[in-house]
Amino acid sequence: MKVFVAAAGKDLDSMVADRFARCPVIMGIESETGEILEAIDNPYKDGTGGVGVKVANHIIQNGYKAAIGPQTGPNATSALEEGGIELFTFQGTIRDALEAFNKRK
Amino acid sequence: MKVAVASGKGGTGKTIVSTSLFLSVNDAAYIDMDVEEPNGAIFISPEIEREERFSLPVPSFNENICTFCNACAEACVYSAISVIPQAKKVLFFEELCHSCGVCKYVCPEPGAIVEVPKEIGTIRVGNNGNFVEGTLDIGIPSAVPLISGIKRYIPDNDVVILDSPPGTSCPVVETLKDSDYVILVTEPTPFGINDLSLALDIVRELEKPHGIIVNKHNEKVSLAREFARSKDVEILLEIPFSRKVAEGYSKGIPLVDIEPEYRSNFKDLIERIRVTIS
Ligand code: SF4
Ligand code: SF4
Repeated sequence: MKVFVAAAGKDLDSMVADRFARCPVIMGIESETGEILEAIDNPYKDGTGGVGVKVANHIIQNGYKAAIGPQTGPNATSALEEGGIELFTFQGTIRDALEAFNKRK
Repeated sequence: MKVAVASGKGGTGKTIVSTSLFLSVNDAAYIDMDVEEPNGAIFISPEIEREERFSLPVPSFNENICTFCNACAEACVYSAISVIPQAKKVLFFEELCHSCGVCKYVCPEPGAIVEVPKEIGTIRVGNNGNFVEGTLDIGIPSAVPLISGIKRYIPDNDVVILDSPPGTSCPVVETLKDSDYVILVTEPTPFGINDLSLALDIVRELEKPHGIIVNKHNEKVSLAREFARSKDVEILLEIPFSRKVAEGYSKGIPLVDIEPEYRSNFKDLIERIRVTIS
């Protein structure tokens, strides 16, 4: 499954970021294989408003099915929920997050 | 001529000065542009003749026509739109929208976006058009559109007093940019002078002729005088602290009714400003 991660760094040993929309790195992972699909510096990070919506739009438009990160803000949450994106909150490394995500019910 | 009355922060006596000017000068109009807290009416007691709701256009999406191409969301720099093809839905975050009209402009499907009015405040006109005030609705993110909307109601009296919002942000700039002269009202305290200094920077940036009125001046008035000297600005008037004035103010009695001799001071001041800008 194509999973979005709000990441603090660009590899699997990086932490899940502690802020969702303003995370340092936007990462996409194939959850079964752990393959990194994208890992880019978050271009929206320093925006003044609507950052949550921008990141949610990125997730929806790029066909992600789930999003791993900290709690999302209200606007992002409603957009992601409408888009049927599964929200998985996690604190720790991305590797551990993936393991927990794959074991979820 | 349009004379704006501004101050670096609230509570310096901006309203005392602007309402006194209005009440002292012949053929004057008073425009309250402090839309988040209009209070000139308390001192002027205008007879309101007209009250109009003011609105801005915002997009409304027809999901039966929309093809969910995402062009609108991509074009919206304020991220007020989320297009969700999976759910055949468009989410619109009204509080982020700045009514720029770009989404409608870029939409390839006629009728997918129509603009609908969103009310943001009220404009009241009274005293034969010589009194105008705007009140921003609670929760509206920017006062700028309403302030620019008020300008359409400004009459062509000889002297138009613009009561500016306090501070140094966009609504202040929106108010000052159409004025011919700016009066900055301050109190002679370290904080007051600091805020005055910020306000002065803006006025100079806008290249508006300007002067200072020191309100509640007391033994610390030298602070304001020194500042004015160092920045080479004229002090137009000093209003000494007076218990009588403060008490009257708290009851909504204008300064020039408590101390009528100020009327001639304010009249003179306007004539001096007229000479300065001519
Ligand atoms: S641009 Fe028009 S057609 Fe495309 S998603 Fe927006 S509203 Fe729909
Ligand atoms: S009017 Fe402008 S700010 Fe509002 S949704 Fe459309 S593009 Fe965005």
